[in-house]
Amino acid sequence: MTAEWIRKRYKFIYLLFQELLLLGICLFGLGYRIGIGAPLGFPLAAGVLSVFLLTWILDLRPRERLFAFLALAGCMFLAALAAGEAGTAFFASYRIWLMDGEAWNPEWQSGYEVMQAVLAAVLCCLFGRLTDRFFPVRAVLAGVLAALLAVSLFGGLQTGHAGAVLALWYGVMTAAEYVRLRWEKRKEADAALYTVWLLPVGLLFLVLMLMMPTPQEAYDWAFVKAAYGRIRESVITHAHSLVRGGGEDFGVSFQGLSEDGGLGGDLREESRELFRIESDSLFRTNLYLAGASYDRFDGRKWEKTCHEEEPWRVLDAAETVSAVQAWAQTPSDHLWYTQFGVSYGWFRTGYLFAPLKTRTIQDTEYENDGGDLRFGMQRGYGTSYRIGYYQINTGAPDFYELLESGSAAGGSEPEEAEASGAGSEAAGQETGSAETEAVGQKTGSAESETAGQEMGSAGQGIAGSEDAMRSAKQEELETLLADYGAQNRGTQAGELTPEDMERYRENVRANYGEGVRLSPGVKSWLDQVLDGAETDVEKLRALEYALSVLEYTQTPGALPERVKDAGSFLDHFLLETGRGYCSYFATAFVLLARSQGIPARYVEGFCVPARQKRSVAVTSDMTHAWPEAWLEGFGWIPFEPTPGFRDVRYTPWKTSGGARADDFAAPKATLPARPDGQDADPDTEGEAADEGADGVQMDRRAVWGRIFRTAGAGLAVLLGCLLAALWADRAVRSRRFARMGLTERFLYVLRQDLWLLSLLGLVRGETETLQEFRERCGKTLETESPASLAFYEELRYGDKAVPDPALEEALREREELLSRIRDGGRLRYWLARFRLGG
Amino acid sequence: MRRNRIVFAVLWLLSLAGISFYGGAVSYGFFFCMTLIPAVCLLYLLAVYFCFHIYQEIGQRDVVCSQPVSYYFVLQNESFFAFAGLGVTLFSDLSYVEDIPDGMEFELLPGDRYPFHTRLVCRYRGEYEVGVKEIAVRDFLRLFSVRYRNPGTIKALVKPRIPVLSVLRTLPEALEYARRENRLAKDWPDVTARDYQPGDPLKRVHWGAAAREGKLKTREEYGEQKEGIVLFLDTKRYGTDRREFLPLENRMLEIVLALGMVFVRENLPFSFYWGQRQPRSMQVERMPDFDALYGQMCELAFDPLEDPEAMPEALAGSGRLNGSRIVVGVLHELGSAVLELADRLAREGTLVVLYLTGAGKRGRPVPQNEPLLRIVEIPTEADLEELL
Repeated sequence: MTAEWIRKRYKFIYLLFQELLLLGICLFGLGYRIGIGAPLGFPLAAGVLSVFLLTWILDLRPRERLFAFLALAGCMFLAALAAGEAGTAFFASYRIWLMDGEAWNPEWQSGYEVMQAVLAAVLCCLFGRLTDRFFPVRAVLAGVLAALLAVSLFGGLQTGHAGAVLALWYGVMTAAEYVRLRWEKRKEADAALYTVWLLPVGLLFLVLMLMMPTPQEAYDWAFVKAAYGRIRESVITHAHSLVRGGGEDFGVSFQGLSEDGGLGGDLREESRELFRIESDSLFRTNLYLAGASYDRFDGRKWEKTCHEEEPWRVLDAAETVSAVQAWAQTPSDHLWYTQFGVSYGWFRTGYLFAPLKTRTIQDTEYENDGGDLRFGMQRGYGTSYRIGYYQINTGAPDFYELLESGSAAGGSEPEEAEASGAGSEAAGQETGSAETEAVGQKTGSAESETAGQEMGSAGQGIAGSEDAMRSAKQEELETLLADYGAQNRGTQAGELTPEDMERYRENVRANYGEGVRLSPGVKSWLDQVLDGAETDVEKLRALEYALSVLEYTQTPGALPERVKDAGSFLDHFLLETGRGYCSYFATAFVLLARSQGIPARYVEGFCVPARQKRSVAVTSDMTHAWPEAWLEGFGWIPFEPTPGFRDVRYTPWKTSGGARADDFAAPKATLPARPDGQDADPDTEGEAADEGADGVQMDRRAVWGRIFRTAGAGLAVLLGCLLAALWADRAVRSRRFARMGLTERFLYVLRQDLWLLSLLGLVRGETETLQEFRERCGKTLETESPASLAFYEELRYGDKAVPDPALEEALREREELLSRIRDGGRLRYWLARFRLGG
Repeated sequence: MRRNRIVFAVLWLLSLAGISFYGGAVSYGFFFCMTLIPAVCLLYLLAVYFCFHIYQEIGQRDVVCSQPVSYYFVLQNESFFAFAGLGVTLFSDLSYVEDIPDGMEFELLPGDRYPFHTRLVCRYRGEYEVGVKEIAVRDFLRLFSVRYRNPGTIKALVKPRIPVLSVLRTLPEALEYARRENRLAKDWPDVTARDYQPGDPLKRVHWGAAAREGKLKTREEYGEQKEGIVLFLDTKRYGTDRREFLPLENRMLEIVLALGMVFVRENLPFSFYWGQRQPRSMQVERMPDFDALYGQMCELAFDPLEDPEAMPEALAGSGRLNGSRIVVGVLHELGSAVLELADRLAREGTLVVLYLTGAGKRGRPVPQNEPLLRIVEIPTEADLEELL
């Protein structure tokens, strides 16, 4: 019954649907542009009612329609009469409102909106009729709506959710009707009836679309990126396993430095490139890239028990920089800011290798882990990041004087500053960035300036009491903390406070300052070494020297069973063997420093001979272990007790005041084969200073070259895939053709002939018989009627088998048709050939 | 359909790009619109799959090969939404339906009904599915298509056709033999006579035949004359594809039935042998025997394990060959054993006619100078009435 009713009234339903849809688009999509603030409510009701009424009236027979319009007019007239002057005033104000856009009477705003909705409904009705009669008009309207949506998207114009959805839905329904129009099938019903019966599906689609969210922000694809990252890592891991062999963090473990900081055993010789570092300017010193640091030693291996997530590296850098800025007369003598990039090769690790005094790490996310920097997951080939850090001029005598003066808890006497401001310098500036911080600037007053500003009148120097200096340093520190925190992209991004710094100091003391029980023998040895050393710096330097004269060997042998704690290790190493490799010396240094109450830690990473270079390949044989000691008020300072590494570690640059060379005696141990730690060429040192002052310069040509190479490779791969796909398609078609029987082959070729005929404008009509079509083809092409069609006719209606000549005839005709197409245009011919597949 | 998919894919990618750079109702609306389209289309196809029913029937299940039988099927939509595109594929390898173009698509709105009263013709003997094979459903945007086998297929039991031959061109001797036998049997239905040989007993003289022919004739004793006709059939199944062996077997059976019908019509009794591993035979003299033969042929199962080379042995075991006047074989391959047998029989005065069906193997060259050995090649799809 319902189906019958719908079949009778389908036109009305269809028109109503079209017009209501257009009304919905008007009100919800463009409503605010025609003065309708909130479509829901009276405007919508009025609009729907108007559409319904008009559609119903227009659906009536002519005489009934006339009466209906007359009745409607009569009702409106009576309503106007009943309204009286108020009605006249309303329409007058409405006209004004239309012109100016401002309500003459604000109380009548809803009335205006109702009027607008009614007018929109009338227009939609008319449009609906027009689009029903002429389908191209509907297609054009759908295109206009799409264009409007595009304009609102790119122009940032406001578009309501419902309005956009309805406009899109209109496009989809129009597309469905268009598809039906071009669809060759047996269809007996009207397009309108078809659309009406498709409405249940269409409405489901509309409801689902309306339920979908539409956030204001663009999608960040975090999930997809994470998934992509995992898949990529997985693929690379497996590829690497196939090529190189598996293992995690193997780059570090190959050199006897186990992932968990174990000692003992012999080192293996291996040199394999792991990653590359590239700086914008020449490195002033060699590079010690720290990976993992450890705080607990059980006699045989180091263990990391401290996993604080605060940005200790940044805090440490801030501590040191603030100390240098506050105390040093010429900060650039002690610190130099440099940036460099790291790109991993065939190397997988969870560690982010960065030097001490790292201030910024860009282009990657990372986590802080008790002073170490780690990725969230293993990263490998293609991983890259940029580091901004301060090179420390260790080895320069001035540096140790600075340490001496400020190494007391809370920072003690600073360097005496000269009264003139001639010493002011902006060292290590980054150019090209608005956030450039001038390191080594001398403050002009007791109040520190914010980072990035150059101090022009810093000439007064910092004189005064220790408290004043401490205060100045504290202020400097607070400024740097705020600045560094903003640049920190680790797990705890955001502004850092002095409370964070204090908490960090307490953690350092607690985790790295644990005392060590020494045996009498070691104690005696230590007393001899530290004889005459009073300050922490002197003690540390004495320890460093004492260890550096021991014997270096890559094959110290296994640790004896009796080595079970720190004390027994020291006994074994210092008193029994006196030989080992870097891990031994670093461990001994840390333990001995802790025994003197100085917090110290064991660090593993890479020792890279980068001095005077811009680009260095870091290989697996550059893995190294070294100690770092924490000086109150200054931060972590690295030392190098391993014999033979002194010249690698201590490559100071020329300072403004003192000489370059340190005053250590040469080590007595035979130097093992190590990467060259080249001495600085005095002639190029100035260049290094000059170049260090230059801004960041990108090798644009290298970048563009990489882009073009990648694009070229991608295009080549795409082309290759396309050709392969084409070839495969042809092969499959050929094979399929070869396996066909005679009849199937004939029909296959015949279909191609019919398609070629359609290209020539010859398409069989719906009521045209095969014979008529055949004759028409013959006349149009001015040749004999296609014989293949005759064979087809016999096959189809005469149930006769396809004779052998039929296939040959069809193939011959195919070639003829192709030659005709070629006469009409080469491009068309080649496209046809391509489509036929030969 | 491919073009629609390409357009859809491009639009979907654009929508992805849109939401990657812009938020808001338009970009997300477009993205969800494009993403929901395939989901809704697939749901629609699923709904059509469950809602659509096809009904078909044939006039009778037992069908004779090449004889049209009434066939009816109807497409109808009993649901509440339109079926945008339904395609019907018929079984066409072994049968065809008249007046219904294969692969045509239909649009079915609720309440629409397309009945088809037509005829179905089965080409070959056997039991196989006929009628609607597959149904293809397409969505309203022509993006996706689902093909599924018709769950309610019809299985027809197709019997072989009995070709009616007005003349037997390839074996006129049989008709001549038939005419002679019938003439003799008119007066003496069950007696045959030969020329009088000196020494024949007088009481065996056939005076009626002698008077008719003007010379003395002696009644033949049982077993004295050569028997009539022997017909044998190779029952090996050649090939594994139904489209290969069914036409061949069908043709061979038609030859047997055509010849059998001629013989019976001309009152020529014949012996029919088939099967090599388990040789079987039957005597066919009258129409009831032929009906029985037809029944046997309807149920005959060709066997790939049968060996044509074993045929002479099977026939020799029957003991009827040497005494036969005409030996007719219906084969696909002409093996050397059969050819030797045929050659020997021909030299002994037996007319041997071998009907070779299809393009089978030939064991060795056929002897050319043997007038009593005849080989007739019958293509599988050729007009049997004209060739035989």
